[in-house]
Amino acid sequence: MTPLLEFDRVSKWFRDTVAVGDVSFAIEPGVTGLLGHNGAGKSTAIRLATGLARPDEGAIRVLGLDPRRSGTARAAIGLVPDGDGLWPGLTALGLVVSCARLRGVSNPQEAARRALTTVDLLDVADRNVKGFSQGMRQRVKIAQALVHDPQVLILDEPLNGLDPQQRETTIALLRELGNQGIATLFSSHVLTEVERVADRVLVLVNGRLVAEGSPQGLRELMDERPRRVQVVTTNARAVAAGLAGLPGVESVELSDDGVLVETRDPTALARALPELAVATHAQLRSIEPTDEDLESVYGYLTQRARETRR
Amino acid sequence: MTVTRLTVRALLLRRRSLALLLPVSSVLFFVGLSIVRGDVVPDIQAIIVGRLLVTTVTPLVALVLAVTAIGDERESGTIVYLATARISRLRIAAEKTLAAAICTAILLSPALIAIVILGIHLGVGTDNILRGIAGTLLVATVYAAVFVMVGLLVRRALVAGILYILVWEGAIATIAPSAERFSMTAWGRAITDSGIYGLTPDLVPTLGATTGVIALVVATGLAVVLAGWRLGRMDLP
Repeated sequence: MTPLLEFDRVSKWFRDTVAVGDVSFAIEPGVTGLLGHNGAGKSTAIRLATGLARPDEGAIRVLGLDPRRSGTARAAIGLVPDGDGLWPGLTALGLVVSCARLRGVSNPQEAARRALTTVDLLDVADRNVKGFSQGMRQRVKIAQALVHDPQVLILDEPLNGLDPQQRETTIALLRELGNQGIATLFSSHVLTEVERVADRVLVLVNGRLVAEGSPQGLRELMDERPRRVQVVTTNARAVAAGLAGLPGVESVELSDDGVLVETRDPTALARALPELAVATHAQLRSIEPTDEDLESVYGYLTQRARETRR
Repeated sequence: MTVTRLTVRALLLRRRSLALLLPVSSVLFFVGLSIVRGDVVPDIQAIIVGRLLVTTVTPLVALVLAVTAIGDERESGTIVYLATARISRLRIAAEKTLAAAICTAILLSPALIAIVILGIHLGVGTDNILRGIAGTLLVATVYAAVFVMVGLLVRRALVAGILYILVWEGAIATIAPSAERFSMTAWGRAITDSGIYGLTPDLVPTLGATTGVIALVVATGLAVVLAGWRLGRMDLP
């Protein structure tokens, strides 16, 4: 069966920089999260998928067709771009109707009303979008992407800039669309967001696909990785000696104001440290993980991907 | 025609577009001055329509609107809604050209009304008044097409366009008769001025009106095709 959206060894460069490097994946009905830090290549991948940019190598196929050349392929895609730009002077209904006409929808008014109902904006359909909040504008953007009943829905950072309630509404909407059988691909740099929505996750690091699978699998993979913890303490040598024998500890280094520990079991470390401090007459001043940011997580996945390739 | 409608609306809602009424008002000023002074020589028609409206005002207005028609969409990101639609890039370029030409015609309308009044005052005849309007609109269309294309090819399209209008059309093509064959405003003047009798020799167009129409239509078509080709090749934001 032809995948709805397929990347086949796709690469894209901007001068010397690899924006997307040798990426292959296929999207099927359901929600797929495209996870990566800022600059990882998510937006470039989305531009490639929608035909806005040309790959330097490889092929992109939507329903087996090139989205840059085929109107049929483009008609199968609904895009919610990252930018906030909307045409001026239009009501929500006017804007979605215009998008329906651009995509050759046979009854634009009816289709636009249906799409606005899906995003719960029908009651403000006749208001100018200029006065809309960011959350409402985001929903208008989703409505215009749905107006022609696409088989593939692509959203670039759809949760950016939304308040918690808007975020919840959008997450629920994405799940609902996924359940309806639309192949939904959305990008994010926040793992917890992706975990809540996606059935499947693709992780991009520096333009390369370094991991893919279920969110749960990804979480397990991340939990397995060794963590670095900075322990600021007096009597660092004695504490370091005690830490070296703990289960899960992989390395211990003395630093300027304490000890830097690498462990696979941070919980055991947290439990053991107070007892160790008492035993060594040390004063614990702070215990802080140094690599809980996403960059570190992605760095680990990259290194792991390299090791797997070897 | 959704692209045209959206673009016309966006262009006319911009406050900056109203600033283009300033060069248009120069036509009104000279028409008014000419009527107040009681000028009756046919040269006045050729100077105000051919040299001022067609050679300077129309290209300037079309330049700003055509470059904005594409530039604003790229800047605001709304171009992605067009580029991911089912319509071809050639059609997008053609509709952008049409929108820029329509807006140019709308902003030029006070000047077009003024040249009708001037034509009646000078008694140049209905034919020549209509030629003046048709020539101006054709020039507006060719410039809209050419500057939409330039907007897709060149980063500083406004600067390039102004240099082109001032240096080539305003100076070289006006002074050197051989260069007229490659001047879009000269093609326009061939339509607006070739039917006026009694012009001083310097103002008589060297090209015929039919040649002017054909050249303008061909240039418009080529510019639209090139713009569509360029839009199809380029990566969009």
